[in-house]
Amino acid sequence: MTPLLDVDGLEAGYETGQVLFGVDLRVDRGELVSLLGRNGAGKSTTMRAIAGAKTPRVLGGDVRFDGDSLLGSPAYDVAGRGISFVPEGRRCFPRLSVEENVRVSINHAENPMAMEAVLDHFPELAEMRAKHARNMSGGEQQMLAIARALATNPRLMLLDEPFEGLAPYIVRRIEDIVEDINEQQDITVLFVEQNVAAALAVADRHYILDEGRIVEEVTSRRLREDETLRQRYLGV
Amino acid sequence: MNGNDPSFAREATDAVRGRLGSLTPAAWALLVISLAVLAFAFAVRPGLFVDNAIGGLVYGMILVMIALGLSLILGLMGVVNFAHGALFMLGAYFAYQVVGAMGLSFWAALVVAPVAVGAVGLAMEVTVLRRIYDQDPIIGLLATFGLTLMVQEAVRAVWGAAPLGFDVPRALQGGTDLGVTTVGTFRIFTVLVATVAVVAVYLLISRTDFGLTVRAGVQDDEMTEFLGVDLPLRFTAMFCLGAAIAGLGGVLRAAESGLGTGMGQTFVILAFVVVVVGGVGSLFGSVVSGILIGEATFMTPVVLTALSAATGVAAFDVSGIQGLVPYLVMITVLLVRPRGLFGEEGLME
Repeated sequence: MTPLLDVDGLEAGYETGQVLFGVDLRVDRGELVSLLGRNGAGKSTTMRAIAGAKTPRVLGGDVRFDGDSLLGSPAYDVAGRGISFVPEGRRCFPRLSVEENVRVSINHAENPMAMEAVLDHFPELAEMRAKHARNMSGGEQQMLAIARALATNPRLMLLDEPFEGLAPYIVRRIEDIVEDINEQQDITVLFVEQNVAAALAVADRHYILDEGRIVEEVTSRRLREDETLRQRYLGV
Repeated sequence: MNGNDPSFAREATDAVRGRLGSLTPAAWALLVISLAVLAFAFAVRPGLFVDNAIGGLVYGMILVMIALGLSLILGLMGVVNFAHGALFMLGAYFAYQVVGAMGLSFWAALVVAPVAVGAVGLAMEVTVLRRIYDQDPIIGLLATFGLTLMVQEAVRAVWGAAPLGFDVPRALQGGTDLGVTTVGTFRIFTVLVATVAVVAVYLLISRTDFGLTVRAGVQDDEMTEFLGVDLPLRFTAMFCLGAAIAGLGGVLRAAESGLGTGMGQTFVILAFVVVVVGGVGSLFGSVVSGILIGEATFMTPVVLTALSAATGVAAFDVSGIQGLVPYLVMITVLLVRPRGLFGEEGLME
């Protein structure tokens, strides 16, 4: 069976230079996979390349979603095929309300969820539907960013550092949400993380990225037990 | 299209209340003195006052019609579209072609000219602007300046450089008696048409799903695309709409004051002043600042004339001060609020 997401020898870079030198990773339907690596390893670049962002520029290799190449498709087309991307820094529209933020994505998905169904997953957000995103806390904004991505009813969700800069109890809440999206909503998830503990708490399988290449593909068990591995690539 | 979202009107009142609340005592004093001076001018010369108040409104609404497109294009695409003045001028010449050269009705021109300008705008966007959105802003400025020159020379080649004019229907000629003075009926018509156009754009941006994606695009274009929105399509649509409204402004301006090849440049610079004073990215700001600048331009001479009449000091009545007023307003506003009246934090600071 073809994997849902198949990144094959992906090379990409910015004007300042090449960042990815042949990234290979596969995510099967229903999986919850993490992409780990140090700062500057190329994690965000990989995610942005998959999502069809204008930068980085893809220099070689291929990204296939359900067997079809995504290369050359603009970001809105990639989204239309069933991939939801929550980039680093949440990127909620600051001067739109919670509902308006969600509505932007609902209006442009082929098979979106209903607003109420989305907010059912986020009781915190349901209580502040008219609030502007700029007046919300980091945790609330992260929930909104995930809610917005969930609203399109995607087949694959890409999350870039969903736990970054959040208080521990909110990290746990987001972990629960991500697991719920994967298990209850049956959405395949690939997320980028620096924090090994958070990755271990949520994902079953992990790719380790170093200097623009996948250097290891490991199970949670090995990641937990192999201290040398963690020291070498993740510095923990 | 959702009833329980915070309405644009409420947002606007909040914005105004916010500005009033943050005024310093000095600014309050200035506001009170301005109103007192205006009241005084009205008492001394009521006819001239009303005349110029309406003149200022007409002028302001024409500025708003150009500034709306400029502001949308700048906010959404990050391009300083210098060619917007050329589109305004094209509206005037297309109307002349329909009414003056082909002898058709002015009502036809009122529809045909903006649509034709919209089509020219579409061609500009597809052939030139689309390629420069991600580039340095200076490239956009140069490219649109080049487009301006091309349009201007094309107009000169087709219609000549001499000033032209055309007649409006009899129903819009003559004046309407307002008690203290008689106002040209066409001026009232201009204000009405411009108001309808401005309100329509407002509703489009604030109440429709299309408008929601445009607002999202202004705030974070990349994220909007990540959510599945085909933004390039919306860029084209907004550019086309902005061009059509500028074209409509050109038709109205030309019907009242005639047309010439220089009208585009004069107005585009004033429209930039309007956008800067109103605050980049705020449509509401552009409307307020357009009317403010129109009124300030027309009311300053009235106030000075009244002062001079009341005090007997002829030196108060400075002639030709009108041309300076928009820039004085801009300097004053930018000194106090560098982001403009209703601009978002950080855009111009």
